[in-house]
This record gives sequence, structure tokens and C-alpha cells, in this order.
Amino acid sequence: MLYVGPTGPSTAGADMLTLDKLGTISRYREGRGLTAIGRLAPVVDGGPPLTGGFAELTPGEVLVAWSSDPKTVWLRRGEVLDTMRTSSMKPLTAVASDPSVGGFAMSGPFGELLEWSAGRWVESQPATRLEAVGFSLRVWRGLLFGVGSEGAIRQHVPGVGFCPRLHGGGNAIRGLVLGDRLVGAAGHGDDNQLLIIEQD
Amino acid sequence: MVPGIPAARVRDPAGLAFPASSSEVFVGNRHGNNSADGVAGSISRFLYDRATRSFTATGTISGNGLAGVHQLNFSSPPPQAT
Repeated sequence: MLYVGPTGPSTAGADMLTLDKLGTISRYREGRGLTAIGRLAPVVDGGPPLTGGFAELTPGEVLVAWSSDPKTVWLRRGEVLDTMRTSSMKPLTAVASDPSVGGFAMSGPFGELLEWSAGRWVESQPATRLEAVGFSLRVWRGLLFGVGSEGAIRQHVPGVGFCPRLHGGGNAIRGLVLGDRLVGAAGHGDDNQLLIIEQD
Repeated sequence: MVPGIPAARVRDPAGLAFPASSSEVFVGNRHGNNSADGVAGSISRFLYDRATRSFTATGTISGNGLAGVHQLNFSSPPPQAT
């Protein structure tokens, strides 16, 4: 049975979605447990963890993609609406969404920025390269992203350029969360604590 | 920068969610390549106290085939039609 910790307002009425090493996309609803709803290609057995994840376009409408698979799964209200090939053959390494810009993603070894437009990924205009394999991506005073090989968080402000690197640890920064005055980063690896930065 | 969550309180963290509606941080635990600790995958919950900048563990989600959690996210319910 699924054990759930103390409930709080965070899950009330919301689905929790997970993407695991088998490529399984699951939906957790309080009181209903975990249900597999979709699938992407799995992690190579014994291989490094993959990147990518979820981008919520609008309430209840979510894109799921990761670096093992050139496909994007489009969810609506916790069910698969469509599965499509990513237009670029380069894998998406990070996906995100923000009310100000909609869905966006980083692709390939040079961190090309893509935008979600009319149901597909297209190159951002103007074309932007973030010059890194991005493992996580958010809008925060520009673009904030975790760099795969450096254990660093980088920030790119359009029209200004890159800010100094902020190092979080020896392993890749695989998650960034934004909240009220809180920016967090998850570093993969048993030796990594979670780096938490408060917005000043 | 705040102290963060020590490595001993998570298990190979690879995903993170912080629902806008709460002060609770959800951590996706990958449990290494081969789940050597005997747990296939889990999600740890921590309550974040802004005043003290501390994290209190509030529970763990595991089981039901949850394996090697890489990423997680909360999907808000769509607005109700009126």
C-alpha cells in the first residue's frame, strides 16, 4: 500500500505526477493512490539518471519529456491527450513553463532554447543558446538553469547575458523549484545535500 | 543561502517540487542505480518554515511500484466550469 505522510494543502485537489527510471509517468491522487498513465523510454540499466520532466502549460495541462526519448507526452486532467515526436532530433534535457512565456525547453549539448507553440516545440526567437547541457530550467530574473556537468546553477538575463556561476555541489543540479522567496536545487548523488537558496 | 536538507535525510535526490499553494517541499529520491538500500523509490516531504529557515520531515511516499523517482510535479486542477 502507498504510505502517505501527513496531508496538507499542497495536495488538496491537485495531482502529483512522477516520472521514474522505467520511464513511467504516474499520477498520484490523494485517496486513490498511484496510477500509471503514460510511458517514455526507460533509463539504460545502470546508466546515469535522466533529465527533463514536467511543464505545466495551464492548470491541468502538462507536457512531459526527458532525455531518453525524442517524444513529448501531453497530459490533460491527468490523462494522456497526445504523444508526439519532438521536432528537434536532439533530446530535451530540461522542460519548464511560466505564465509569462508559456512552455519552453533546453535541447542538446549547447542548450538551445525551444518554445512550445501551436502544439509543438520550435526554436525560440531570437535563437538562444545557453551554452550548456541544462538539467533543470526555470524563469527567475531571466532564465535559471542547472548545468549538467558542473554542479552549478547559472542565470541568463536576456539582453544582459550570463551571471556568475553559483556552485551547488559536485554533482549535477537536477531540480529547481521556485516559491515565495525560495529557490531550491536538488543535486543528484548520495553525497549531496539539497541546496536551498532564499530569494533576497 | 539557507542550510538546506542534509544528504542523510534524502536518498539520491533527483527531483524537486514546491507547490505554490503550500510551504511543503517534495523530494524525488532515486535510491541509486540499483536501489541498494532495498527501497525502489520514494518521495520525501518536508515542511519549510520561512521564519526559522528550517525543514521538518513530514512523511514519505513509497510503494505501489514507485521506482527510481527522477522528476515530480504538481498539476493544478483546472478551474471549474460555471
